[in-house]
Amino acid sequence: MVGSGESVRVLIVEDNPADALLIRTFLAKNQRELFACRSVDKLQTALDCIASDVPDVLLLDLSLPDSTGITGCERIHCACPTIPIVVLTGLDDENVALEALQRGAQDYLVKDQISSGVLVRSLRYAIERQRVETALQQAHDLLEERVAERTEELSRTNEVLKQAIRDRERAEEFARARHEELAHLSRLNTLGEMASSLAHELNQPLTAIVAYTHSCLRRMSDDDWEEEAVRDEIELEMQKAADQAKRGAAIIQRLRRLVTKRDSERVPFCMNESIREVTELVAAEMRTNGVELVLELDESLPTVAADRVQIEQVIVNLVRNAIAAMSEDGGELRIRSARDTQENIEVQVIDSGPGADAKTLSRVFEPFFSTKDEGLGLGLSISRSIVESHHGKFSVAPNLGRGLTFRFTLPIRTETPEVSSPLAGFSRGNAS
Amino acid sequence: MKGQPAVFVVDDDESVRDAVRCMLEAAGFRVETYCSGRDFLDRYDRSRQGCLLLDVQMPEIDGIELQRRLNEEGIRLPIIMLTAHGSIPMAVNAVRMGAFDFIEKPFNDDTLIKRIQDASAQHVQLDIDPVERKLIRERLATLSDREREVMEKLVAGKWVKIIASELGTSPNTVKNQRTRILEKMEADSVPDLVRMVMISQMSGD
Repeated sequence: MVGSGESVRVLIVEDNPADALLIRTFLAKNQRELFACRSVDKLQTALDCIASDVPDVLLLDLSLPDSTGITGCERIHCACPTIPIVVLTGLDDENVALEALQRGAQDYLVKDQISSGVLVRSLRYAIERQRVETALQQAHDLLEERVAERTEELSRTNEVLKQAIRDRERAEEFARARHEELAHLSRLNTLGEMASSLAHELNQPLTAIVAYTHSCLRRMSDDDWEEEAVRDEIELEMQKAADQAKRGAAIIQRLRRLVTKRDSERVPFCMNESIREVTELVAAEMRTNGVELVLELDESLPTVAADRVQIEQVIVNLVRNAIAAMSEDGGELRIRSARDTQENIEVQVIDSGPGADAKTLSRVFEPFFSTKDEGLGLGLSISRSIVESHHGKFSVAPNLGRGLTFRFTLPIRTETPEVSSPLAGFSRGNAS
Repeated sequence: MKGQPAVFVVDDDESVRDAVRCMLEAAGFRVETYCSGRDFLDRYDRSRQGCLLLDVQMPEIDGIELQRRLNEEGIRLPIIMLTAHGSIPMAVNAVRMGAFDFIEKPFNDDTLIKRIQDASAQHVQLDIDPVERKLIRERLATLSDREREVMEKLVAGKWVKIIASELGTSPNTVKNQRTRILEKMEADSVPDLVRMVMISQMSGD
């Protein structure tokens, strides 16, 4: 803009005509640029001019009829921040000059020290500095705008992502619910398959109870009550009958746990206890199939936080699978529990059956794949998905001798649930 | 006393074995228990008479298999199969193969006792000793009418209390009558008495 051949438009705000004339004269003397000057003697007039036509630079006297001091500089800067302002002052007062610079002026000149060169250079520098400042401001504004745009864009993307996450969570929740439903149906199906052996299992204590009771009734009717031996015998048999009733109740309790349908809950429990419970449940099936049970349980195992019902379902499936594999000639069922090096609990179910070829082994985890005549072929695929939903691993491998080893791992959760410690403290406090 | 007839109970469930033993002993039977078919084949004294109670569902040698082996050996003990609901077809098969009957678990004592008596009766019929039968009939003739009445109820497996209420007397009276009947008949238990009554009813005069 400056020195481009066009004239530099200067607005002189000066109420002293002599000073205004002097400035015009100085500017006219300059050879390199052409200055087009316009003079006004009031601040208000200057503001009106700016409103319609912005000059390239403004020279401002600080003692005007309608404005004295630094406020004039301030008002012009507010009205149009891009106008470079050079302040004219009669006093050589550093404080006034500094304040003017802080309020938006680019430079200041002391009236009786002005020369043509000083004035022109001051105007030129003021214009140039203002241009750079304005460019900087524009760049800054542009940057701000861009940042705002990108922020807006990001928050839109974020919203889309959040929606996607919500959709995914809903889908996962749905899948989890379906998985639980399927696991429950599979449990019911397993129980259906076990029904006859369970009925037999429950019938045994009932038979014993009826027999003990009849024995007692006959003794009470036929024998001599006066004899202590008779009373002792009756007492003993009543006690045995009660024990058998408890045995029946324990079977029912184990059964009920497997049939329950409720939300998955992962609380710490003892894996060995679950293994023992399950082997009790399938004891009849093992007996009738001539299967001998060997337990090799690591009694120092920590508890594991998992869905106990589902994990017991996995053990039931593996154990019944092993029993079915040995149903022809009987055999040995070995169940091991141990802690591996990587903070997992590992359970192995080892049978001594005929085993399986590589092709069958590669398919055992497929849903609806079964080598048995009865059953849905869901047990192993459900078992694997249960273990994997607990971040564990599930695998099968042939033994060196006969049979197969199924194994699964569950990570040990060391953190105990929050509720246990305050409750423990509470009960201690109460007891004292 | 060896050689006396007994009820042999073969069941793999220890509490069932023990409970059935208690129940039959309370009714005066001699009882021997075995924990498996293998155990019975190993320990059973082939000269012993009696009745075999056999659980159908057992590991290794089940009731049917044991029955087959006994048939092979020519042992003709009457067999009553103990069955659960699910194993009735097996029991029917056992009856076809010569078992006397089957009884479903759980069972009342009078039902079981009745079956044991019927099974023993059938068995007794096969080799009846005419001399013994004559002796028994002579002893029976010494019983009073009332004693005969009480004896019939005892033989039916009824409890003393029930007999007393049916006859309108006290249980102690029935107990005394029971003692006298056993003495007169020279029987050492009610089941022994049952066996004698059965022999006496066999034809062969």
